[in-house]
Amino acid sequence: MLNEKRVKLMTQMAMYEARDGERDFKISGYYQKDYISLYTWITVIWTTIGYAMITGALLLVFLDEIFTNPSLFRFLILGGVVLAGYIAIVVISIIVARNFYRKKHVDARKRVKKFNRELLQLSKMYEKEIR
Amino acid sequence: MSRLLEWKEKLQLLYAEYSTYIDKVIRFVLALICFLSISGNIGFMEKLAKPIVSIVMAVACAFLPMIVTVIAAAGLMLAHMFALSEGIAMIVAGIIILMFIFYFRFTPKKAIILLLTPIAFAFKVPMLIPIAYGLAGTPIYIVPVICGTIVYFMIKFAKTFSTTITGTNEGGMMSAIGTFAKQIFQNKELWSVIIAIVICFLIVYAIRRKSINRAWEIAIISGTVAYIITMVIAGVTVDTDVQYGTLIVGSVVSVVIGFILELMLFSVDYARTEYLQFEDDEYYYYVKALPKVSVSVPEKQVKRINRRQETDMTENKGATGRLQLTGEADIDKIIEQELMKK
Repeated sequence: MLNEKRVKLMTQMAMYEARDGERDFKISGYYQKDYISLYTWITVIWTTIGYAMITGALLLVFLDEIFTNPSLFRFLILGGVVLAGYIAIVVISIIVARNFYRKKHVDARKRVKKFNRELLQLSKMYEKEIR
Repeated sequence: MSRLLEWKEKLQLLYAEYSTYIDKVIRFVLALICFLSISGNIGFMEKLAKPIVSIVMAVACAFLPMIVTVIAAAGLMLAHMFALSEGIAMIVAGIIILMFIFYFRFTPKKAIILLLTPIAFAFKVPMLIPIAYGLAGTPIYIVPVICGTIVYFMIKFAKTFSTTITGTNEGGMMSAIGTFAKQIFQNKELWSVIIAIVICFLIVYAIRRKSINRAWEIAIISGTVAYIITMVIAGVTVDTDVQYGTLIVGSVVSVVIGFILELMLFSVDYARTEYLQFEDDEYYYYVKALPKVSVSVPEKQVKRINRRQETDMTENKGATGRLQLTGEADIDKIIEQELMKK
């Protein structure tokens, strides 16, 4: 006899596995602290690359203006502005990345826990049927 | 109105039944429109500008995730820009990489907006995107909409100034890069449109979340009016080229599509609004409950030939296992019901 409740449960679990399951299992394999740290470092690296690209592009565009009346003081100011901008953008990206990946890990863990509960429920349904 | 709601229910049932095929068709059409638009506007590489190439790419993208369509569109755009000028291609590639680094790394699923925004501009309904995502999304969607606007203006500028951009020597390439970058980021029209889009989006989002009656309709109309006013102010103050006829027609079309979205996403019966008040240990609650409007559609009759069914269950790898059925059963109906709920 077909157990409608079991089929519904299995359909929901299969849909979750097909969509978000693989990604969530991977995320929940990390401790939260490790996951946040790893992906924050990756974000900082990407941010550095992006900032270098933006600075390089701006330097190329405004090359003429920079090298008219060159002086050490002017270059020091420019270097200071570039460095300050880099520090600011890295700090912002760290804050944003930490919050983003913390939420991602927490949400993934919640879904995996729900999946594990459903698995337990499914297992009990089978045991009940065998008896 | 009830007829419209019936059609909505029928559409939902139809989609639930044939979603696999409908998704593929939608992806194919979207990819085809995107590739044909790119090749039609900046088809500088003749081999890739042929319609057959766009069709073949669209067919391939129909069977792959949406992010592949975005990557393919970016690749096609870069290829055409490379045929125009290596320097321009570098700038465009750099801008796309920056978009990826600072936004799409975190939310790759929103990359589709990068395609939809230039398509909306091409069809002269640019305010449709901030209205649609203001109704259905959150303020974070503003970023991909702005990125899509920048992509559109890059294509537009490359198309308009292609004859002056082409250059092959070192000095020509550097000046082309400088000119292109300045034209994109100092373009008054671009910034006017971005400001108008942001204002429209925020107004639509803020108003549709209010608990007032007809909030969505007020949001759609307010957002459109705000967009028009911003563009008119930009046309008068900074002397941008505003085509008022296209703006009005595009606004009307956007409002109509916005109302269709409201019908699909938020059909409620304001006449049966209920106001509730209650309290618990911590709070007093003032609740406004709006009943959703649903129309019953005649259901399919499932003919049961064999009453008694025998089922064998075998478990394979993975948590869920797989049912093997002998004889006719209602499993299709159960699964269909579950999928519709999702």
